[in-house]
Amino acid sequence: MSHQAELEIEILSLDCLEKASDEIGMELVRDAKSYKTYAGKQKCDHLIRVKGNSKAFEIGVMETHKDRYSLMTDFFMRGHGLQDVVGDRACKLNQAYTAAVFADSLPFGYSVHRTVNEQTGELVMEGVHA
Amino acid sequence: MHRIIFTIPLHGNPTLKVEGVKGTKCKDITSALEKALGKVVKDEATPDMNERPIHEQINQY
Repeated sequence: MSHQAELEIEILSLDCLEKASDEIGMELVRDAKSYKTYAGKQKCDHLIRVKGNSKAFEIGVMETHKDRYSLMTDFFMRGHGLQDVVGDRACKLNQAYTAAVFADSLPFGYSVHRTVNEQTGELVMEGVHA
Repeated sequence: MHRIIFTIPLHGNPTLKVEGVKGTKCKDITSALEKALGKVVKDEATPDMNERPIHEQINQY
């Protein structure tokens, strides 16, 4: 062991957000101008919606700075199914996004293994370089 | 052989750990990853980081 870092994740890649959405049963719609909430449509730059559930509220993706994004949504009434898919405070989506960035950013020559702790939901990704 | 171990909890910040690299080369390995992921909020050197790589030790003789 030689170095350990704790990170605060920022959403910097739409491609990885798209992969993460797909992984948990959602889809990213690029250039969507509004997303659905209890209070009606709200402005956004892109949206993420639950596949196969047209009643679920949606997640708005806002480009706050160039190539830097924030997510907004409405969990009233559990978002009519949205929260069951993304988890509390969108934890499942955040976790899938983080994993997608890690897999995409590893230099050539690494093999990647994934392990999920079924009790805690913790995901461990291990990149091994021979 | 070295390993990069990335632990992502459902809630809270993930941690990135490098094993099997002596010296400060581990920083080179993870800097691009850290940049792609976001902000480093805590960074700790572990004992291997203060050890010199083997080829440097050989050059001393």
